Amino acid sequence: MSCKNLLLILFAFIFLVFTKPAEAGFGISPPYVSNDNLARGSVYEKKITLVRGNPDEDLKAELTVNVPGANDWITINRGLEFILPKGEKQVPIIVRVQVPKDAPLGDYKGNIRIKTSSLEALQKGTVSIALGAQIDVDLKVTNAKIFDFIVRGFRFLSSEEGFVKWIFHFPTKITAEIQLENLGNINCKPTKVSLEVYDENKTHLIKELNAQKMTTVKPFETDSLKAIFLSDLKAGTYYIHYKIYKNQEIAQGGEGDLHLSIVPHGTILGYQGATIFDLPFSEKLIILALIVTVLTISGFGLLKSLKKISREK
Amino acid sequence: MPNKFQNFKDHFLALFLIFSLIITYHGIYRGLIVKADYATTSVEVGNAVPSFTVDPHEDPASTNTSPTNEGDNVTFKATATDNNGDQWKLLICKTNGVTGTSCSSGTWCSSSYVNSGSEASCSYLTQNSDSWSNDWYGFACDSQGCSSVSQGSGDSGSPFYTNHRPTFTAISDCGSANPNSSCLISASSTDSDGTISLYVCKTAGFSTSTPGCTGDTWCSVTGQSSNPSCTISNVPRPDGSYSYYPYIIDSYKLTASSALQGTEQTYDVNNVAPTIDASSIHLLDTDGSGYLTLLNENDWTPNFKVTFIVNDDNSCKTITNGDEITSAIINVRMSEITQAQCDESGEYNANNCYPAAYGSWNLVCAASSTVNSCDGNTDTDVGWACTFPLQYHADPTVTGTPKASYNWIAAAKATDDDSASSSLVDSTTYSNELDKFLAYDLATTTLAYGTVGPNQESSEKNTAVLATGNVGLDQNLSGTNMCTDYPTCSGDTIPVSQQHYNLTPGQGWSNGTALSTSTVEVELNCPKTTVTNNPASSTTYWILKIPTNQPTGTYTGQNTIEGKVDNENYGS
Repeated sequence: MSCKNLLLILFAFIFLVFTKPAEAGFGISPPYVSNDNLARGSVYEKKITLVRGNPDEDLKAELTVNVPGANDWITINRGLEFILPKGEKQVPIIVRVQVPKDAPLGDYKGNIRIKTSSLEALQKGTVSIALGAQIDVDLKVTNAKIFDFIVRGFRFLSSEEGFVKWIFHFPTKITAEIQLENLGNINCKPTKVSLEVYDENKTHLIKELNAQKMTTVKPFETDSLKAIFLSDLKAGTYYIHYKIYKNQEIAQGGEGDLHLSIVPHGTILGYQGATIFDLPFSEKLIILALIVTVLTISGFGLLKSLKKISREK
Repeated sequence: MPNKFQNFKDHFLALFLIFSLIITYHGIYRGLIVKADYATTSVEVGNAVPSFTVDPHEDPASTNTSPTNEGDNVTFKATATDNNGDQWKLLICKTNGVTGTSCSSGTWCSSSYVNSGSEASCSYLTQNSDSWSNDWYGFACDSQGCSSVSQGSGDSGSPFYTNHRPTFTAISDCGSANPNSSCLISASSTDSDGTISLYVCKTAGFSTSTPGCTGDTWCSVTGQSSNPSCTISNVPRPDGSYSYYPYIIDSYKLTASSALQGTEQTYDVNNVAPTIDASSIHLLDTDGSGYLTLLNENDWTPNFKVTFIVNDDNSCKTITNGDEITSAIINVRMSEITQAQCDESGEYNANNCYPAAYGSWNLVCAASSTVNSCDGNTDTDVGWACTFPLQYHADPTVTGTPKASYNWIAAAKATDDDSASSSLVDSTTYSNELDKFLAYDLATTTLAYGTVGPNQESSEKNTAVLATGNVGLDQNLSGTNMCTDYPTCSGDTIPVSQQHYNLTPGQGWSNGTALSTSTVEVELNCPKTTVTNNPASSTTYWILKIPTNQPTGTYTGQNTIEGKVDNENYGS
């Protein structure tokens, strides 16, 4: 084989390896907006990410909403036309569904179509291909107030043992963080959260605790809420069986077993333990009585002073 | 100095008296006698033994409640006078009898001579060979004889008591104990005189006066008749060797003199393997919430996360305050695959199995205080977080998809600093679903029909759709008219319907479907990709037919391909 032929083969190889046909990739994740529990007047938001494989130029994105009967309810945070910037592989949009208060009950199905196109002039004499994708939309408006949720996570935050100061017994404060997906159309929190506290080896039940305070999660949102338990548990390791109730039943994802470590008082820097509001009722009464006494004495003193001043005048 | 002076004065007076008597006898009185003429008298003054004016006694008193510790002195004191004015000494005998001015059978102690009327004292250094109770007999003796016996009276009288050191011959411990369990420390120790106590100190140093460890105490026990033992009720959690220093002391605060006293000893806390609670394992999306969502077409999506809490009875800290848990791994899989089918490198499958052993999987695991902080060596929990990527065609498990009856789970395993590992624990409660990801590539973004004459068909062109997400695809097709002044299209135009498409090649223009400006769904039925580097694809074939009498020109147009989920197979 001559040198010339070898050179030709080499050039051919380089050409084949390093030149690619004009490829374009586009996607959406996830490709749907779906909600079965929309109440009249409710708002539901869904994040959809527009994905590009090779964002080497700005593209114009045009969205068309086609959900018969519900087109006016659906808005996009970026509007119906916006730019997919060069260099950005992922562009999130928020599809917001705002159900009118007088919306007819029923199913609303359709789609949102996305079409992208180059901002530059098309290549003359060819048919260019614009890429797009379809978001499937499936909405249901109901007049029922739906209380429904799934527990997506449960964990204990660090806990310190309670302590005694003067005559006051500050309890051990156990905080559980619950990741809750509110599937319903009203604010929600678990009906009950209970802990069965066993010794470390789960040989005997020490006590049962119920959450005393809980925050709530807004409709259709996934958020974490905190459940507070007050107890007299000492420092140590315990085995906990937890149950999270939705009405009378244990919620999906609402049951499990975890170890709980309670460390001695003063171990955790900046720990927010129990406060005077967490004291036993009898000790709260003592504080209340003290406050009342001090106020009464102060009141009498003030009254006396005022009388004295008025007499002097 | 005053004592020396007093002695000198006493001696001088005594010598003067003796001298005076001699002179008187040989001189003046002899002369007088002579003068008195030969009547002679003689007298011999006999020795009188001293007698106690203050009975012998111990100072301080050595009693059965406050004995003299072995090695300490018992001091005896007494005061006696001698009618001859002789000096006297205090003699403390072991038996009631003297021979001359010495004890007949054993002497506790003997003082030096002191003047009559002065206090004499002597001391006895107590010995291990002494009895607990030791009778003594006190005598006041001058140079010629001794007084009758006196044993004093009351607490300070005979006997004196010798407290013996406790013996301490051996120390033993549990050898090793599990974290936070108990450990028994036992001493072989006796005491003939009273009770004994054992103090097990954390550091060397002991105060006999307290009594107690000068530092922290592991455990202690008091008032034992012999062989005291105490239990360290909660040994530390971190594994390793722990020092202790045993001290034996008796009820009279006399410590043992054994080499074991205060000598460093050790017991071990065992290493135990960590555990992971299944309910602590959370499989999380890249933003920490909701279903797992792929975000890169035809590529890895990084930063998915698995969080879990590792429990270790040795606590989250080592004995040197390092991290007890040193490494962790996860295997992530779709639940159709069993744990055993997804724990080796060769079992990697981008559709459904991501084992840690697969070297090209970018798995990073580290302790995470956000998940659960390590709060020192009493805290048995520590959080871990692993980040990992998923390939674009990982199987979706949400409603409507072929694998909807499954979900994605993570199996986690942690290893401590001694290479003890937990089992591989599957997530249960907080596994997750993998969402649908619609994405595709087009191999070409133009249809170049080339030069085509009126009433002629172009050659067949094609557009290949490659599935670069995790669902099968259909497509929506639409287009615009082709025109010479695109996009205005006020001049010559070729209607969009002149473009026909087929899903199989070689069907010809007449068998194709006319493209429309309205969007039409085409059942492309492109399957989901299952091999990373070989995306599934489906092709659409295009033919353009130029209308009769179409003016010559360069026509430009635009077709739109919208990917959509193959709803028949992947739900809506």
